[in-house]
Amino acid sequence: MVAESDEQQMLRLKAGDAAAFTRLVERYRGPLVHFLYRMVGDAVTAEELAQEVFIRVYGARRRYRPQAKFSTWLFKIATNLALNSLRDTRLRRRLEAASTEQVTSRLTDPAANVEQQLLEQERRAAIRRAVESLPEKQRLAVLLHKYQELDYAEIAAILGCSESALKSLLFRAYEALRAKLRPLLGVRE
Amino acid sequence: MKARGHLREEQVVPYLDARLPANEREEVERHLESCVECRQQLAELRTLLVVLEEWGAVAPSASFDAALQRRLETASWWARLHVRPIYAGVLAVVLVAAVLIMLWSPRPPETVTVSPVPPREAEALGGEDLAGLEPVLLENFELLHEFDILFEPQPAKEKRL
Repeated sequence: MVAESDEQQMLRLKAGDAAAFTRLVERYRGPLVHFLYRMVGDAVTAEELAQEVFIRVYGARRRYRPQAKFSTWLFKIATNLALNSLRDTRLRRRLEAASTEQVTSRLTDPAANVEQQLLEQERRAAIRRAVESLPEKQRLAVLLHKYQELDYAEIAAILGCSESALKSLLFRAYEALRAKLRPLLGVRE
Repeated sequence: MKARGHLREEQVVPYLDARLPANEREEVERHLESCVECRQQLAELRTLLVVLEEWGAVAPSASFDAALQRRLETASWWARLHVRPIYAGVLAVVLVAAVLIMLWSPRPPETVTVSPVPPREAEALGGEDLAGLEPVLLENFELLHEFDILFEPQPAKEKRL
């Protein structure tokens, strides 16, 4: 049996089938939380924002028209919410506090292979810092391309640019990351 | 379109994704055969794309669906009232402010009362009738109306000589 497309599920929801919404939530809660976590850097905020995305989708069900791919629409909402959240200074303060807590918990981890864990965490932290240091649009492009694996047309629609501009944007973002993460690439200086 | 002298910017990522059209891919591969610099760059970018996968993400918590359900019910409740939550928030703030203002508003001015004079003091004052009188509210103007002091003396009528 061929699974119905997201757009068909939305049309079902529009017609009053609540189970269609459940199926969309099941399909997208993981990708949305992943994307938002990488955008805002905080698991609790990422979940709240992902729920907000679904609330917006549910609220707009009667006005829904399948003009674009559902995932494009969904990630566009998520992008806007993430950017608004990042601009909130209160979240920035919380992130600073959270990163301090994470460092403390790492140092007090009683696991046997502490050294290996610290090394891996440090690599992840370096990648995270490198991605976070990218300009906003480059960061979004990388997250949607590398981690969400959306196609060029979708990412271009979400970022409001042409596909050609997106490919250049991605190139510049990856070049910046290549420079920042050289020690992790096994490249000799 | 910005030329880099070797590969064009917009060719690199689609090439790594194996999404270039066949003719462009062949063009890129011909260039790579003769360009060490571009080969090195693409090899590093390929490694980078693998390294980036080390940055995992958190999975949704077990309470995600339940929390979403609660938030949807709250949102639906406000929608039934045709009040958007943002306006509901403003309304709540206004109501709280009104209650606080009511609670903290200055008390009305205290009324001055004249205590009844205790019998012994009344006797000392030489007026037995004063004892046992009820307190007199000075704001009770109906009562005060009876005091002459509140009325200006009537001008004396001119006497005709």
